[in-house]
Amino acid sequence: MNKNRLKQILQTGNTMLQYLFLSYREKFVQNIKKAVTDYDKMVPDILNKGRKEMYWVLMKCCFRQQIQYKWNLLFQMIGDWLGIYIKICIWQAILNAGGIKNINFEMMVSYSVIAAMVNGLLYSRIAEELADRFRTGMIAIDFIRPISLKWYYFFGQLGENLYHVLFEGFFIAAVSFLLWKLSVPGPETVLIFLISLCFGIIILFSIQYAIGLLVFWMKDGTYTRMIADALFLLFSGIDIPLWFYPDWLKSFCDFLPFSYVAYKPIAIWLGMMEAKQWQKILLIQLFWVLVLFIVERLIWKRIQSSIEIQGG
Amino acid sequence: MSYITVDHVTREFKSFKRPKGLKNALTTLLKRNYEVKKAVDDLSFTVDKGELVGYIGPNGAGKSTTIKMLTGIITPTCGTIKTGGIIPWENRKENARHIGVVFGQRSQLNWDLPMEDTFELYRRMYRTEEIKFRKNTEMFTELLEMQPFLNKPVRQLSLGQKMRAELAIALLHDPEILYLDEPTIGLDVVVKDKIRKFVRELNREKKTTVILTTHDMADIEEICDRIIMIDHGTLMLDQSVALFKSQGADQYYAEVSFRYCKEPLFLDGVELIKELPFCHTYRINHRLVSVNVLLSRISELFEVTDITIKKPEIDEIVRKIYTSQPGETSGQLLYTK
Amino acid sequence: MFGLYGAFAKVVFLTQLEYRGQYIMRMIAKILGWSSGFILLVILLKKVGPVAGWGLYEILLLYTFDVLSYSIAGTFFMGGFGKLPRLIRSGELDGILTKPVNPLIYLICTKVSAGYTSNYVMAGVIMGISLHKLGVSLSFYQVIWLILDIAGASLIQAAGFMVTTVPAFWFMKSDGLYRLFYKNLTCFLQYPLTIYHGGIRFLLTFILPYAFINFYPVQLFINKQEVMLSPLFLFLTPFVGAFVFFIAYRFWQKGLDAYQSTGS
Repeated sequence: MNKNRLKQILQTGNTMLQYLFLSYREKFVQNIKKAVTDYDKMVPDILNKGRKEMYWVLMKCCFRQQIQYKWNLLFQMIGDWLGIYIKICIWQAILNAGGIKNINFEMMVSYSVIAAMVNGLLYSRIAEELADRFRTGMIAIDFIRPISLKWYYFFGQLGENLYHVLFEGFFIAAVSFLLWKLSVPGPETVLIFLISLCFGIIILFSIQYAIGLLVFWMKDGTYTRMIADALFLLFSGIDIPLWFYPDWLKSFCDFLPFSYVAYKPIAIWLGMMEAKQWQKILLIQLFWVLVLFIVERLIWKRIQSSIEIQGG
Repeated sequence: MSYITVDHVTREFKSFKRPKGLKNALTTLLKRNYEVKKAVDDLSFTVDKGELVGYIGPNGAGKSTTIKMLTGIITPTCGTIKTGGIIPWENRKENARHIGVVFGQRSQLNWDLPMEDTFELYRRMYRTEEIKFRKNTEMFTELLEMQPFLNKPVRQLSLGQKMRAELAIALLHDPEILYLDEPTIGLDVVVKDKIRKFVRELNREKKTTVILTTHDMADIEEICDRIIMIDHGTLMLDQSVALFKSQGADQYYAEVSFRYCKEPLFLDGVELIKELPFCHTYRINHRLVSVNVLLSRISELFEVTDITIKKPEIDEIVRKIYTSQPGETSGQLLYTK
Repeated sequence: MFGLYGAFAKVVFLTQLEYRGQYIMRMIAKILGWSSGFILLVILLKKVGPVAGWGLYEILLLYTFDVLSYSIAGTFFMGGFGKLPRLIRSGELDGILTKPVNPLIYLICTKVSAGYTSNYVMAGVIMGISLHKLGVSLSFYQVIWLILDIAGASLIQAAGFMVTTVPAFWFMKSDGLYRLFYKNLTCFLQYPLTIYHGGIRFLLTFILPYAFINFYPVQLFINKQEVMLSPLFLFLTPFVGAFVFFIAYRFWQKGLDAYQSTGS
């Protein structure tokens, strides 16, 4: 071999092939790795722990995240107070006008306070998050994760909501119960209230989740959610107690799941006449949980099969 | 006369320290700890008109911060910058008229509009003259081969098409300086190549000064004449690409494939770094071993089937400099195939 | 210069109309979302009668002023300011700052939203019905004044958006501020301010003048003069609007300066 040949060999070190097989592939692999580690960061510790512990850890993480924002906590607290104050002023003005019988001020205040608390537990961003995951394609990773996406969101959100209710909700409740000398029902009623509240949370969450899944066929998730929110506002009694509704509308509400999320549990707490048959309420709630579970499974199946058809 | 002057520039950032653990998190409800970090620390350099500068450094070295200061997005904590006689953050709009910026990782295009409309909007925004505008659109459409997708909405374009479009709109108003922040990230080889050629061509035609940040050293090799490297916000190195590359020239690699071997090659300045059956890879120090000696030794010891000799690439030199920062321990050149 | 921004706004507006399916979906969602507020009001007031001397249509009129001005402000400001933290984090704002344009106007024009059109229609119709039911017939000058009032109210709402979202330049997460000082406080506007404590009225008149969005201007048209320091309050809305918007604009500039010089 002579020097020219050597020179040639030296120059061929910089070939396109090298870019193709080395740097390009390397970059590509790096990108994928990055996507996966980013995802893992969002689910810290979870994969190392047992399945049962997993959801608990998840709740703790979301809880902890929230504490970072002290000003938000303060503002939210004041905001929630204002909300209750506005409601109470309205009820005061209405009762002063004297058009309403058989409902007293204390009941109205209790209703407003409990409704605010329930509302705090119901907050959910699941529809948007699902929409985001579909849009970015991250949903593909969810398919291969060893956790259920549904419960992952559920417990994450619950952790966040519990934080709000524990830190501000109970404080607000305690103060308003002392301030307006509201009565607390017996432990039995409280227990039934809590059970029916849990059902209610699961019902609303399932609705949100099912709606979130619809994003698979739609471009944008926010609008389906807006519709669901509007229906909830109208038919759940979270804003105005259903006893102010005309009778026909109130019976219509009984056929929808929404009133079983807010109005019925609060009615149990208040010991209303219609809530004396609490067994019936719990049964209907259970019925809705099952119906929504089946609906959500069906949608999920459709998505899975259409993903398989499209090949991702 | 230098066109861009960066003179003893420092930029600090305040960041909130995240505590660990629930208890500590609770204490931050009462008190927050801030940390002052210097993203850029007493940095100075100058760039002449028409230069093609590669601005590199490891992640978090302060590259983007410098670009943001040069483009007038943020102001430095102290020090001065002049680009074409203008202090960018004081005359932001005036400065913006003379620069073109492409951020590889974020799009500036309107998602719903076809390119043509975006061109028109940019013409109005920069008040580009009709003739110049027409000439530039034609030229860029041709050079970047954009004709097939000019009237498709941006959301339907591929990443490579989008990046070419970004480049084109950043240049419609004939900026004197072009800032490219990781322009080839995530692109395939063909598009990368197209973009590199385009930037060089542009520089030749219009004498545009180009400042390019990237992690892909092939970008530097093919576009730039000069390299500026920073780390921890301070200047590490500022030299021509040719000089930079010659740094690694005292070593090269020889990969010897053979049918039979008497014994492994053993010489001063030669080191066996990879041993496979019927294939050895050696690192050779250029100063200690002449090529003649090397080749004759090899032919004595081996029955050679093939021999490949490879110089370290710019990538490796950079990797060596990056990794040898803390303690000079990991400054080993890695030979990868 | 105006031609440029006009061209911007038109194109953005038209492209939103392009996705027709989504647009209809959004229309339904928005109509339902906003009308649920109206419906609840009607349900309640039908049942309980007037609140503090304000009848159903008077309160609906209050509500339409609020919704209409919110929608106008939202059309131009929600897109940019509602997502300001995200714009900062994603670096989109950096992109804007490398252009030779006024960042605020650029933001408004490129983020104009077509999604509020249904609100205009709905609020307009309900306003017409309410005025008709109340037996109010507007003279030519009153119509002009009504438009000026709505414009002023929109400016107040826009200023509210801006002042509560611009702190994102200093704090990472500032949506609590927006919720409290904008969302929660404007909730007071659904009902006549007479039902609240005097302190609230003071706050909403002199500190955060949201009361000028509907409570004071509406009274001119229905011949009321409740709880105002001077009858002049009936006519102040356009001026208050211009004034607070100017302040909000200065605040935005301050925020932008801070972003450029201290950053995060």
